[in-house]
Amino acid sequence: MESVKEAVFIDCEVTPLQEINEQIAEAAKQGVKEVIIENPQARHNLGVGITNPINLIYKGDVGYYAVSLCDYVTAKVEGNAGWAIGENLMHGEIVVEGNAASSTAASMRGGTVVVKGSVGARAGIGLKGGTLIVGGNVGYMTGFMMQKGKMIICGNAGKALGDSMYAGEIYVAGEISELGNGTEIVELLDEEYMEIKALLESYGIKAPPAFKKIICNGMLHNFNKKEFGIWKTIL
Amino acid sequence: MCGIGGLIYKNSVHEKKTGEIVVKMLESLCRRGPDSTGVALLHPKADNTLYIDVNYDKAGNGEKVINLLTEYVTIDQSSDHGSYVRAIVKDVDNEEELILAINNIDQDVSVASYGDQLEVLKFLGGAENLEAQFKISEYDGQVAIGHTRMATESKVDISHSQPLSCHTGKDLTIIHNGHITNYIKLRSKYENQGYTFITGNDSEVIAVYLVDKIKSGLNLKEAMEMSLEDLDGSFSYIAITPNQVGLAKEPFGMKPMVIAETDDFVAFASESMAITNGFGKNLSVFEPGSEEVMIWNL
Amino acid sequence: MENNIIRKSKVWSAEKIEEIQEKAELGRYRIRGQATKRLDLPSFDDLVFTPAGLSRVALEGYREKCDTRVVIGEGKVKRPLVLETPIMVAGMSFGAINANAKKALGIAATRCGISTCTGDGGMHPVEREASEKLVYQLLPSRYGLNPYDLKRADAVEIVVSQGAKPGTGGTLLGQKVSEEVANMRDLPLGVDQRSPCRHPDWMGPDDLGVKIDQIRIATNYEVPIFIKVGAGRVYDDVKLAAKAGADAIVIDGMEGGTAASPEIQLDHTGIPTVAAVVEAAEALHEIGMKDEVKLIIGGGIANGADAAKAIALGADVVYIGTAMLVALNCNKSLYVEDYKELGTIPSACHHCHTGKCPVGIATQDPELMKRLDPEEAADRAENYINSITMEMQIFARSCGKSKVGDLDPTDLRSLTMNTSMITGVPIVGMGSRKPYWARYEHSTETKELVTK
Repeated sequence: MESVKEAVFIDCEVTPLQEINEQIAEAAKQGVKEVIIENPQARHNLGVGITNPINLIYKGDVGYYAVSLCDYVTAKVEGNAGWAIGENLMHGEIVVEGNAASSTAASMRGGTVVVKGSVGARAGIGLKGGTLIVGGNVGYMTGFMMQKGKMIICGNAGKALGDSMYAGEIYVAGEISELGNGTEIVELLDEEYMEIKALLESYGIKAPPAFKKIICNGMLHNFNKKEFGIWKTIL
Repeated sequence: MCGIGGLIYKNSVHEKKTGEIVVKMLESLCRRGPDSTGVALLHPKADNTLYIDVNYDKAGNGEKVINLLTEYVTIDQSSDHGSYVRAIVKDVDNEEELILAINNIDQDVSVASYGDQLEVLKFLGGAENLEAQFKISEYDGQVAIGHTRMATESKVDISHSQPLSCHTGKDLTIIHNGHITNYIKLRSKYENQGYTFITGNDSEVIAVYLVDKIKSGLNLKEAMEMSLEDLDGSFSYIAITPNQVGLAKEPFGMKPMVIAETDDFVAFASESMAITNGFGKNLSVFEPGSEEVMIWNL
Repeated sequence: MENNIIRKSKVWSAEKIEEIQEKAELGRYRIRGQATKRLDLPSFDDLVFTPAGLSRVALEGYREKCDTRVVIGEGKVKRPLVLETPIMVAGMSFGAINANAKKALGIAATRCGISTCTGDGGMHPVEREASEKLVYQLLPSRYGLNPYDLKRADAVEIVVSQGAKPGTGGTLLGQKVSEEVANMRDLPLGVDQRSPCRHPDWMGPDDLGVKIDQIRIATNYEVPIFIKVGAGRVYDDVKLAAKAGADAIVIDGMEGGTAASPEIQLDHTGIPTVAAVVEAAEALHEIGMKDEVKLIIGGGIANGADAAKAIALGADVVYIGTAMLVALNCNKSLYVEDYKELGTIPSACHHCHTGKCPVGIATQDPELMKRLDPEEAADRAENYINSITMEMQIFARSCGKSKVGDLDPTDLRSLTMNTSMITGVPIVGMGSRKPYWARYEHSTETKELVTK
């Protein structure tokens, strides 16, 4: 019986997209430990729909939807990422060494996504679980309609932070341009801060000295309530 | 809505001239199709010969067609029949260019048919008009198949009369009895693919369909068999090429066609009366079933 | 004072007055279910078929074949979606309706060889089991989305918007967010759910192409991908969706249904289905993709006449939602007291948003749910689907077509000027001809006036 390979190499320069994904899926199915993806050249859809455990190492920049719709995948991007990296991740871990663009970890359900640099707009939009860590800044509408999960932002946050969030927590160390509708800042307990610090350090990120904790304030929860003052701002 | 009458001689035993018989057949089919009459004739293969026939409407355009031909090719024979130009030409450098040039003369001018061996002649009114113009009864070649038209939904004029060809199809012409009910769908599909339609007559799409299928590699029989699936509505139609004649009948058998076959010939017509009239005597005829394609090799 | 005649106003009608006074209480827009109740919309009823007479031959009603099968994604994906009749059950979320209704629709659809659609709530196991062909909706909310369900779907429908409220996202009021719904959607229990109006990870037709590629990879290139848009700027949207790479485009007209939407939007956004279908077909013809990309039209389709006319105008398949629920029992004269309690009567009920559906369809209340038996209801839905198929075949055959799909706009005439202008179908009578006496009169012809 042929022993399972330790690592598979894919050169994106000479491989069509359909084959790249098929090879990754096949390797994961076979129980290969690691796939090294060379020359990704910021192409889109590198690593979609993989649902078996595997570790992916991207030797360069990736485009849209890298490691999206995946489960049990760990990945490292040695470069920057385009839109929606880690979209709908269910279990696993993704680390981006550089920056990521908008919609990072959109609709993520579980696992952890770490971007050491900054991200664009709508990070963690519709988050349904899991943890998003951003070493730098986040842009407009971060955490919009977030339902569950946690976001830890070491830098600044743009406008409409956590707008219309249902539940979950957002921690921001830097400046917040504007809080979104239906949110409020609450006290951060010491134990919580220690947990956050440990988590950041495990990814080699220096923890800032303090964070603001933002959660849903429940005011958008029921239409039938006659709180016209709130609705005036929403509509 | 129409009448079809035709004859294929299998050998040189011609009891009467081909044209003579077919004209008589078409005369008796006038009731089924009083609007116009047309016939397709097969001429023996000859080098450097092109039969070309052109529809037109406006007075004076016939002259323009003949003048253009003089410029482009060597004219062997040509005649202007008031709404139709018949020509036999030689030394054609570029057929496509020639056809395009003729069609561009005016809105009402269009090439009805062109072929190395096939010639289509048509005229308004009954078979006697056609005979007066073109002397069909003198033709004694291998194949003559004709059509009498009763227009159902499109115009009554020469260009809409049958037999009809595809604008880019040489040496293929069709004769159709019935109505193609998915004409709009098929025509828009073929127009998107670049085919030009020169009439609003649904029968034209059959010619385009066959030319397209043959281009994609099917032979005439296969293309006609496929047409039984792809064409909707009522039809019996005949397709003629220099090497074969095909007959197709749709699955519902709504349009009539009877056949008389002997060792010497095959005759078919919409009504057995036409065969009797054509030959001057009763012949044993049969009606093919529905959803059938028959092919005769010439 | 003169005679005491009660004079009703059109401008200040009873409905308008009630609307204003309710908003004075609520402080917001009114929300309700079902669909627009406007009485003045142009519809398929304005069109009639012109069957075969002498110029064409009709086909025998009972004996001669009339094909109804449609295939989506043929030649493009490994597992095209085969529909035995050109009808699909439209997307209605688990949440908007309950598992019994989903099961009934799934069983009926399977028996008829057609598909159902998950709607904005994720793929419910009951539906996946009952329905042999299941279209999986991918919406802005992403409720319940996961790669496993994607791989188990028979088609994926990327939803941009729906006909009832194009340009906005879904709504499910707290009273319908039961424990099961909350779990499937990852929401807190009993909280009003609002879906976003845009997808989180693509914002325009340019990104959409990349998103479609992603879904193709995630589904192993096996199943067709649809794009659904509520009917607004149909012509432009259809061209963009086709160019982005969709296998089928769904256009949902303004008569489309909903379980909960702002009422003002139902009545004043979107264009009627009869207008949407011609725009969509024209757009596809113009870019030469009419054969390649299938057109699915929905929005108030109620019977075989609507369906056949939509197909004649260019649709390949019709999406039916509300009418399917009506077949199940919606607005049936049962439990009349409960209708009264809601403030309505059978035949006028649009109270899906309350979660108190008297016949047990649009509710998660276990007691009410008992009123809908999935097996019995499945029979009703199956009967309804079959009756529409038969009706479509009547029209096709009478027009001399052996395939329902061969119906075309030239088989129709319009009874009204309005719909004639909307669809391009000539008005009956002298709509496509000039009468012989036109040149004797000096008045300008209506057509000339209109063209100016």
